[in-house]
Amino acid sequence: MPAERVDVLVIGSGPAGAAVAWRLAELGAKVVCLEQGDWVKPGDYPSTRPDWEVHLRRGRFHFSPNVRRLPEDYPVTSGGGHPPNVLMFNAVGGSTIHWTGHFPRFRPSDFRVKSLDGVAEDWPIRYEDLEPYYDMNDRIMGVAGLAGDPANPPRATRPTPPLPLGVLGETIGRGFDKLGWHWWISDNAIISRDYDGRPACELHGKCMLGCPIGSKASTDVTYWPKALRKGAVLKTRARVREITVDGRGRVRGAVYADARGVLQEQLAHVVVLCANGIGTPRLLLASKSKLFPNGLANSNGQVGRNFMLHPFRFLEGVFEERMDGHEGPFGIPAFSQEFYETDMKRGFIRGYTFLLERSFGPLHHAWGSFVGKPVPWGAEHHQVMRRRFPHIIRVTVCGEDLPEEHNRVELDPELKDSSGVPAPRVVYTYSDNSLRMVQHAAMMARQALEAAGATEILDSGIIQPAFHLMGTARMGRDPRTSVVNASHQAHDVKNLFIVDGSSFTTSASVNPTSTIGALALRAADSVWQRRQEWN
Amino acid sequence: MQPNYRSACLPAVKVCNAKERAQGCQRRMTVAAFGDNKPARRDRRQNERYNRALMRRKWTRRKFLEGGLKGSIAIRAGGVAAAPVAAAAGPAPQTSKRAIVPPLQTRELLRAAMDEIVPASDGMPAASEVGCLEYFDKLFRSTPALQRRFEQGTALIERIATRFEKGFTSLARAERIEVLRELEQRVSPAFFSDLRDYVYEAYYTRPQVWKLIGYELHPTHQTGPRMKPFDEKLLAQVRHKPRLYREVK
Repeated sequence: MPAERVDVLVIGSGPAGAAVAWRLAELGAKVVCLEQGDWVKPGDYPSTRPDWEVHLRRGRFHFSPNVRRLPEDYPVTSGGGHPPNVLMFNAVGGSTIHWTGHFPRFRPSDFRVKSLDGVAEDWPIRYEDLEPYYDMNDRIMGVAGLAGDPANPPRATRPTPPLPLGVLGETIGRGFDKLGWHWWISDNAIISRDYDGRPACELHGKCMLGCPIGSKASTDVTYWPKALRKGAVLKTRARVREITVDGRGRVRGAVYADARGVLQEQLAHVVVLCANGIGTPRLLLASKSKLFPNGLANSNGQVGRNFMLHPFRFLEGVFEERMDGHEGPFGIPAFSQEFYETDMKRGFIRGYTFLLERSFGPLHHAWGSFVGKPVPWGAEHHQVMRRRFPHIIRVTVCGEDLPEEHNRVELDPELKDSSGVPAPRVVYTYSDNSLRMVQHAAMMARQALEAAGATEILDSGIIQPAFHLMGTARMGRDPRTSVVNASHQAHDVKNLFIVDGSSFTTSASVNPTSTIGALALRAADSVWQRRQEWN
Repeated sequence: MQPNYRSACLPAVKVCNAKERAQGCQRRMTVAAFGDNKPARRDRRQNERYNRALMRRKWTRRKFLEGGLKGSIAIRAGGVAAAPVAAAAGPAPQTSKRAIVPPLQTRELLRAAMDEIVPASDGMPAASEVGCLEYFDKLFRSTPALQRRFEQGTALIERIATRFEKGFTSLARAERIEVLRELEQRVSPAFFSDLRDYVYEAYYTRPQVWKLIGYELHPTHQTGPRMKPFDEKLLAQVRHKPRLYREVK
């Protein structure tokens, strides 16, 4: 017996799904959200425990579903020239449970990549279309930061003042000042004052292993309590197998396995898919039917294509003085966008951001920290350890990735998850442009660290691609080359909306989550504006 | 999250073989046996059991004996010595295909090896002086497959030590270091890096070590560290830069 038909079915409860569910519930829609994970109990976070760093390597809180292998996880296989290491979390709040909380925005030029630089595609929307939603998302998530950054358009006073920079931030800031380069204190979705019923950050520095006090914004503590109060229904341990369609080629709802493994169907007038840059194309491709033999919304074969991952590289400077990088919010304290816009003299197109970052504790340092250079064993061990811990400043390069059709998410031909849904397989190769870009960035990062007084610099080199999942059901005006239109409505299916990292037309060179939240709020408004079409 | 979490991020890695590759297989990794069809409740104990089961699966799937020594050492997990022990003083039976290292010997060898990896020097204690061996005992109790792996690994160490015609624990320190270097550089870099990382793990989760290196834990259910509030003057120079973003019409 299918359950009652609701107005809107949201699939996924992470940064996009939570925002969509809250916004639509607030506007008056009847919303049900299906989430394959469960609520995470704050007391379960490894950050409360003395062995917290061990959880970076194993256990049920690991960043990779392939390591956790929990029943709510699905495996992700990989291929291509640089097979990615896919990280995500399946729970109420999605990967915001784990993220650092870094909260930058795209720039106006990021929405006009084709017009300005002749590569990739323009977004079908402008920065100005998204700006009010960025602001709304800032207010609900709770942000600490400082307006006035000359590298970005003016923005409203941040909901809470900046978090402490620490010796680390001050030191590297001086380095950038010395070179005359841009830097600014970061916006973070971590509150520096009590805000909206949540307590101010206590500066523990273990954000990525869970913030049990709720100072770091994860959508289970920001959007969800509000959405539930407005009447949204959140079904956990509900794993969607397939989005179903009716005879007219419209979406009916979704079939999912409930907590007991029993198949149910949830009917809805509108379905909004928010399952992340890999989960979203996977579900679309797995939802095959007579009308949609290649998968849903995939008549042009674009679902899963143009998969983007920001190219990263880590450089760690070792300083004489203590930097205490393990203290203070892990979310990027400061950043530099000196090399953000295109300058072809540098030998590559588009640009990159430097994230000036903290570190984990002594164990992670001994293991080799972010650069993969373990502290040597034997006679020199203690000397080197003492030199590095806690004396490191990390400069992380986050470059812009360009959409390329051969980088893709597809269905694994053999492997399935525990509910019988085919596993996704991601195929990825760094472009030459990305490789040239991170090479340039590494040289510049070295200069900055030296200017700040580093005595030794450790470089990760080219790393295995990871982190931000984008571009696999992208927005666009042209139905031949994109999956959704400017309103996040699938070109092929009128009552199917898709919003999350997969909606990104281009990746910019900043962390995506604040943009995902803003897009989701805007998409919710587009869904609401079309409510006459629901019946 | 980072690629250099290496072993953590690359579970049960199975690279497609040459024949498969010739047939166009690009698969770099498969993950077999994933989740199960029973819904898991949020019972902590149940979860732990589940995790342990997964870990066992993971470890047993790993192939770890590398190089020419592969297959030359047979292991009887947790067993009592049933054959002459390679670790015994005197020339080891090089031709033996069934050298067995019993747990007690494994333990003593581990103690000797960990104290070369993190030795007592520069005012810091050696690994075994702060309870790292007991940490391994605990790890082994919860993950028997890890114990088997370490028994196999220590057998490799013993095997290398035979060139000095002694068991590893009877060697002089310089000789022990030489044996470990041989393990690290030639015989089994994979096992050595696991050994090193687990020793580091044991060492840097000890509160007495934290005190010596000036680390305070600050678990998230307690008060955090104090930090100087942000000072806006730090941004004085950059604040006056001209606009750095491109205007778009």
